[in-house]
Amino acid sequence: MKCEKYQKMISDRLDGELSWRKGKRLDRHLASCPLCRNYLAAQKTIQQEALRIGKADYHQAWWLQFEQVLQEKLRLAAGQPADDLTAKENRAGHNEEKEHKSKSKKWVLRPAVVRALSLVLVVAVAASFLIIYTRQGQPEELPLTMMLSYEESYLNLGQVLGEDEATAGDFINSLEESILEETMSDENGKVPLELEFDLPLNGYQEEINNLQIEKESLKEGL
Amino acid sequence: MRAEEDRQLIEQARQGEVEAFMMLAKEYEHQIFELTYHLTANREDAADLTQETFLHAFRAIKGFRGNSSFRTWLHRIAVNLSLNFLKKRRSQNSHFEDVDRLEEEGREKELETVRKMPSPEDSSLSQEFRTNLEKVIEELPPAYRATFSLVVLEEMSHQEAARIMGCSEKTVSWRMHEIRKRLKKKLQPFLA
Repeated sequence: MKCEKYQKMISDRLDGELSWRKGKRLDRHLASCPLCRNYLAAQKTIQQEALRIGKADYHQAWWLQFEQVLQEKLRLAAGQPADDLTAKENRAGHNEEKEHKSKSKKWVLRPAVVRALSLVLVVAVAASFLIIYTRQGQPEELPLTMMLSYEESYLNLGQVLGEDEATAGDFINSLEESILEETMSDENGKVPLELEFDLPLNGYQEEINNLQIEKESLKEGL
Repeated sequence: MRAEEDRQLIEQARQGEVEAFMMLAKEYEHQIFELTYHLTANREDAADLTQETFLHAFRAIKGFRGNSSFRTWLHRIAVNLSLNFLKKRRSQNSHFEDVDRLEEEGREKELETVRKMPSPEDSSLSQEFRTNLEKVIEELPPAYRATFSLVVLEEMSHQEAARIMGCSEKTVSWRMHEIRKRLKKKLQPFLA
């Protein structure tokens, strides 16, 4: 019973909690008690060994991942949007999606581009026909504004093509070829691979149908 | 200096600033992980409990009045969560005790063989002693294990451990004495 009291003091001393006064009493007891000296030695060993166990640390990479997960959980708890790798991945995915959409948009817009180009082509061809024919007839009378005006050029083109059936046929054929070439090839003149998947036969067919309609309407106009 | 920095970060975290709270978490995550690992003796459980501790702390930080240090407050949350976890685990385990015991017996035989192998960096006696010490600590009642972890492994004062455990300093002192007696008794064959 007496030793039990001192062994409690030994425990407090190992925890750094024993007062100076009690410490003096314990030291006096230890000097005369081999049992308690043995107990103190055993407890010191246990304490030392206990401090050597249980180190369960991880590498820095593990802690980084741990912190990312924690941050995401905290953001959710705070009602904020997640701003971690997952979010970045989501953003990247979103950007990819956007990029994909814009790519798709490019192809969706393609017929419109073709139409615009075909109109430019019509103007250019019309202008060249006008120059050739007016030079033969009365070249001095063609005003510059008339050459540059789309409406006037179109009217003139109609007149010219209406007078010569062979020229009209050649014109329409060259127009058709130009449009097809533009639809099928990229700016470097190569047929894009994606076209085979994104604009397959249906796409071409649509263009050809549109062309036929334009051709018919042009003929009717003439 | 640390306390002042903590105070500023706590104030920002109270306003809902996740970044400020994350700085606090980074400061204490290793300590909390060590503590939960000592209590659960399982790394995955310790990692989950550490996450839970910070999540609880973040949700409750508006109610943190600063009567104790932030470190003590965090440790208290971690200890409470770990003790609840251990209670649940104990009740779940009791259902499968027999199966576990049979499996354990087989595993123990294998482990014993491994344990008896001399470690390159340590003597086999010391290794065996430590393995048994771990086992005895694991067998302590959860509140005793928590007290031992805080005082010996986390090197906290009785006062701080008492605040975390929600008991008096005298209780901590008596618990430590009881734990030490038990450890010596169980480890006596290795101490001779």
